[in-house]
Amino acid sequence: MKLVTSPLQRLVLYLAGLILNLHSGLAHAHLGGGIDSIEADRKFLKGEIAQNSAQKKAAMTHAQYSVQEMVVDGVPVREYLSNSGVVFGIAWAGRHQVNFTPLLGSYRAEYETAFQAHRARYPLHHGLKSRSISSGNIQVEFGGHMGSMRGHAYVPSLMPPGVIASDIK
Amino acid sequence: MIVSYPGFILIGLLSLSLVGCSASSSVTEELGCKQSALQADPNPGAAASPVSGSNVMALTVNGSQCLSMSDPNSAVGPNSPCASVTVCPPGATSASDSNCQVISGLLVDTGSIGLRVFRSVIQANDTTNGTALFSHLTPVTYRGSTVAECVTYGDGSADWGPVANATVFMGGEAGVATPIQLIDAYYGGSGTNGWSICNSLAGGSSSNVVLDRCPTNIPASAPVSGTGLGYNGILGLGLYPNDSIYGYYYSCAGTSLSSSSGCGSAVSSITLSASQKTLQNPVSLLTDGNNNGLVLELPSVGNIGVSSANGYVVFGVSNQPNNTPTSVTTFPVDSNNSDNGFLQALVTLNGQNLPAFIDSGSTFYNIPLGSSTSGFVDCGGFHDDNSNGWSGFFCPTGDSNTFGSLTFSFLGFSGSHSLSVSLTLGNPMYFYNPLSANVFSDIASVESLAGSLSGSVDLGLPFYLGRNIYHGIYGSSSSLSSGPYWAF
Repeated sequence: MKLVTSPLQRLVLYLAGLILNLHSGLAHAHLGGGIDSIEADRKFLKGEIAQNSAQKKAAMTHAQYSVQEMVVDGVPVREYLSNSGVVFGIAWAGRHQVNFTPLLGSYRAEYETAFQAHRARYPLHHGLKSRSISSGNIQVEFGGHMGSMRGHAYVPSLMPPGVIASDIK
Repeated sequence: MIVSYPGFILIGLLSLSLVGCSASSSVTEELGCKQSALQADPNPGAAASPVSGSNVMALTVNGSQCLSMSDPNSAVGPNSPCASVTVCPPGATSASDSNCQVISGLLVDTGSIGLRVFRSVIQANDTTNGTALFSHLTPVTYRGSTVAECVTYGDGSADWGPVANATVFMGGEAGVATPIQLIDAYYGGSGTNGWSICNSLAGGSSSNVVLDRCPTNIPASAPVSGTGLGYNGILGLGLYPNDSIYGYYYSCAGTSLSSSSGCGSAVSSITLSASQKTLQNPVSLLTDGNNNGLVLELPSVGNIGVSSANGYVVFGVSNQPNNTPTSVTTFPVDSNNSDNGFLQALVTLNGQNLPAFIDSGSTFYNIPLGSSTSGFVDCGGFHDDNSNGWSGFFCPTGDSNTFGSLTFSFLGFSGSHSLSVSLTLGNPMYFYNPLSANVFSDIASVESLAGSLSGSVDLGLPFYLGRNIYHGIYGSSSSLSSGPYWAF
């Protein structure tokens, strides 16, 4: 018996009893956008997804939000959509990092400025295993090691009541 | 400048002035390229018990196998396990064949797979030595086009470059034919192809994340800066036979390994034959039974560190007298490469189960700090600001020059294996001084993901100091176990 489950497995287990409906084909969205937002991004990531033959999509619903999942270059990426229709968080976990910056939407520039500041303080090198980056409106954390990378990004002001950062995983 | 921390204990006498030294207030900055030499009377070195045999490769932590501390362009950071290999054109039968090149200063990394050498250190046409390795390497191809790889790291950095066929000699072993990566941030040039793809995959930012050996190797016009590592490359000897588990591979519109012309605008993601065209773990390719794993042997270094530590990589597990343990506990490692916890084991820390892994390429321990690590706090809490650079590191409770113990049970991924392990951790501001010591067993950084994402316990290079650790590779077996496993 496995002593520990993967983050993905834990997520699936956690949400399994909460699924109200399951359907595919939800449009891609990004942080701060609605479910049908930003066609350009959708096309961009659709291209990424198309490169992965093992892609899958799943949708899960929670009392305060629903979750879309897609696979980008083999890495499951989940988007957290509030009941009012705003994406407030994204999360990923897999064997390598993913190109998540397009999913940051209008917060991307703010994040990248904060990343550069973080890098200036903690320069790039092989030993650092993760980064936790805060800016005015967005929190981004990512890290891991060969074969096991994960991360998430969220906008605290958009999170539904009762939802905490550790829910976004 | 050298920052004198409160209560700083300076071990040894400075023998030269330190004008212009870039030893900085942040340990992370220590890992970059220094601008001038550090000279001091160091603490004595430490050495493991001698091991000999054709299956032995010398390993030094900040010692003779590493890039020199006095090289202004490439000084290596603390806790750097280094080795040298000989890289030859494909088909070479001897390490002394023409056009072979000894590559020293390689980071020995049990947390990754395959040999990666910075393009800038491979000789293109060395008339002094008569070698021209670069022009004799051949590209790995996919449907006639060159292949390049992107590898992403946890800190948001990445390496990018073409994949070449080579023959690699390690220790006294026969050569192994394997693809290697030539790390070359400019392979394919700028624009919307090549390194820029890798740049975005790294997830860190829109620019400045693709690694090179040292800032001074980077052309002024290049969109990459400040990413020196202090290594000539990375020798990945981890628990898997190839790097297909995490490498991104691409085919380029091109036929050469040349930076400027090898990777044209048409770059597409591909899936390569894992057993042939992806980077191979060179240990897996060894003959005479040494292909089932390795032993990494390094000495203890005490609480205040040593200037360097000499040890060995011994190839094979339990197939020869020099790699057969007398008494070890063997820990199975997660071998399900379809889940997210791949190649991890488990520790129990104050009743909390956490994924864990052993990785010589990690500079220090990296451990979630929280309720399960009572007795320790973040060093940053002792100071008004973080200018001392030790924010984000473990300190024993109380701002004093003391050492604390962090005890946990190391478990295999499955089964009933368990071993109590106690780490000694101190407040590095009292003993960390790169002028006298570069090898430390008692420094832990804080895993920053642990707050709202699950963090892992990273047992980095310090864990190897004073332990002989046996590594069993996935798909192989020894009298200890089937791989993957760790045993110590």
